[in-house]
Amino acid sequence: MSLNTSYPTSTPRLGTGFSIFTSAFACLVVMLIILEQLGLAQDTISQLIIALPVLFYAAIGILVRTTSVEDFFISGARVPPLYNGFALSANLVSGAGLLGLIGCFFFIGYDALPVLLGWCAGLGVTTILLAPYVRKVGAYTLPGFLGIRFSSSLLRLVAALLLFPPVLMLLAAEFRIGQLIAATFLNFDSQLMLQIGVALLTASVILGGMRSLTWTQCAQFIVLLLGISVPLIAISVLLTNLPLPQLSFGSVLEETSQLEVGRGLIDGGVRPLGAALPGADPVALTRPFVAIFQSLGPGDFLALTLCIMLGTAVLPAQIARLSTPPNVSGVRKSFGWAALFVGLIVLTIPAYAAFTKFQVMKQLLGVPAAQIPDWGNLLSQLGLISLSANPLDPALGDAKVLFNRDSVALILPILNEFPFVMTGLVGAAALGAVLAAAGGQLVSLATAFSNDIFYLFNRSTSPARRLLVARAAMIVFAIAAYSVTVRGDLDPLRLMIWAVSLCAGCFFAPLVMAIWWRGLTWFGALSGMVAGFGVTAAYIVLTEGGGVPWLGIDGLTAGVIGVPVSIGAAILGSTLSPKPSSAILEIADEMRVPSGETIHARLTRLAARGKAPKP
Amino acid sequence: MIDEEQRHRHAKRSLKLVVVTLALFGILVLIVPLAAPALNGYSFLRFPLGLFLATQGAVAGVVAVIYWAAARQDHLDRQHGLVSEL
Repeated sequence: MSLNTSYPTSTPRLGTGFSIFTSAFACLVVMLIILEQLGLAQDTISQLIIALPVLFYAAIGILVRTTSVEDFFISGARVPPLYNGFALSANLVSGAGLLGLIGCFFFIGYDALPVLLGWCAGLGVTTILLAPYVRKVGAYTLPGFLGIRFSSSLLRLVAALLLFPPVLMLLAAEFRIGQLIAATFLNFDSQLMLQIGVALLTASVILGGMRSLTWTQCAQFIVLLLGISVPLIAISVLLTNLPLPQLSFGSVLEETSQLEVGRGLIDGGVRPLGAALPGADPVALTRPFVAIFQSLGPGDFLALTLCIMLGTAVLPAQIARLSTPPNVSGVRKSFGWAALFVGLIVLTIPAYAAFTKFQVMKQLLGVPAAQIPDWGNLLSQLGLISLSANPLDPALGDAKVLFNRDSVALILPILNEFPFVMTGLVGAAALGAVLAAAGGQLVSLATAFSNDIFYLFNRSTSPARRLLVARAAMIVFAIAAYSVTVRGDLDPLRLMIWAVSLCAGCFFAPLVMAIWWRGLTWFGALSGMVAGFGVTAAYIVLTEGGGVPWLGIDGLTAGVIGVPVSIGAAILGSTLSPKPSSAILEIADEMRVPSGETIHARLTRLAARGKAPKP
Repeated sequence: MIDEEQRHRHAKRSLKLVVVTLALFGILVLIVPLAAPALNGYSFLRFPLGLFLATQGAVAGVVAVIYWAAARQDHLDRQHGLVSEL
């Protein structure tokens, strides 16, 4: 038993490093505000505040490059819990989540809550149900965990193959949001900007893998948190005299409700989830904020919460984070931190949307086009809203305003007539979230390919070759996700929810049962995974293709069907196949003991003496 | 090495903790939001109470439960001599 209680950190001056980064970023913002007052062009400001942090992330990623397998795949298993928490939360919140949900709250108010609750509860489910046990196994990836637990290469291979579709969908969703931000702020061809962005993202993780990812995600999380809280706190102080927007938006809601009645925003009736969730196309504001279950029914609300919760709990990028802290207690602490940070952002999102809606109701809706101040033009120039005069009475009739769900967040600083830098700051925050999540998905794809497919067939390969394959895989996956992004007219938020649904249907039951049920066999886990994935995917495809939803369950929440099917198939598969061997039962028991070396480390040690196959 | 008996009791107590925690999560994220319309008649900090409890209270509650459960599990591990150093 080891008595070492201090964490071996990768660098003793980590805190100093990130404090310097934070101050540098704050200086950049303040300097740009000053330069803006002195007359710096708006285009230059947007380019600086969007591009400089991105270059900085790439620099961090390249500086912490590595050639060690441990460093590349699990960041050397020595990330302090606080920083692991930063990385986890940046990864979970994601650009699609941040912008998409602020937009959803803006459009349908309370009924947009399920995704937020699902995130928090999902983190909790991982902490309590999976974390210590998956950590004890110590595999690099989710398929790797299943492979060691059941000593089955086939299971590992299938898990890796099933992991690709949902994770690629998450990656494409992030790229889409990244493209949107680039199109808003940078006056260049948005396709070209997306290509440059993807190249910079790949550059930032390709040399250091998980290690680069950890430290870039930390920097991105800092920008994310600053970027959405600074403008919001400023507005909260101006409107309510309190610097706590999360608690002060009650009074704003009261006034918003009165304005909503005045502007004729009344309940439009409950619709099925797919129709009720705002889409990516510009639409008018029609629903009140405080109406509860007036857009989604309670059934859809619950199904979506459950789906996001179960899917979040087993997100592959998140499972990979279980291996990066130094020990089991460190894993739990890092999830505690992550819950705190995600919780803070989750509390901020409704507040942000409420303040935005209040300002929009007060200053933009019900006003003739001619009377909207200059910022009205700026908003439509940036493509954030589309503004058209009333065709019946252009001079006096109310202007017609359409909003884009994913860019609602960028409206707030402009409506308040803040310096344009503040809008850029929100954009930089969203881009940070995009890069953090996209990097996380890219690394988990590449790690799964290198470890669970390539390495599986070439056990005697050199570490250098494993890293090379992972790096090549990153480029291939980045290009694959890019081509998905530019092809279809995809809605990032829906793409994200589908992907989380798929993860829930495919991985939740096998993973939880692998830990909590000794009787599960490799064949049971395999059938659970395949059946869960198949049913979830088929249900999504069928309902999207115009099929009639079964029991009113929307395609977005297909995971709610996938999980029970997966459990059933796992039980059935286990009873049909021979009982697990004593060696596998031993691993199942050992996994429950949160002390000693990881199973992965033990197997590696045995393999070095030729007594076991390499894990 | 830890004996079988000790291990068994540790597993049993961990399972109990898991059940309690999951039940708390269930109440916070599934029951509270559903009960919101019934509570919206009251108001708190100028929020409708139901909305406040669901958007702010449930989230804060989940975070608190995660901290409590993590600390409790750490304590259990230590109590049973399973110091979590890997």
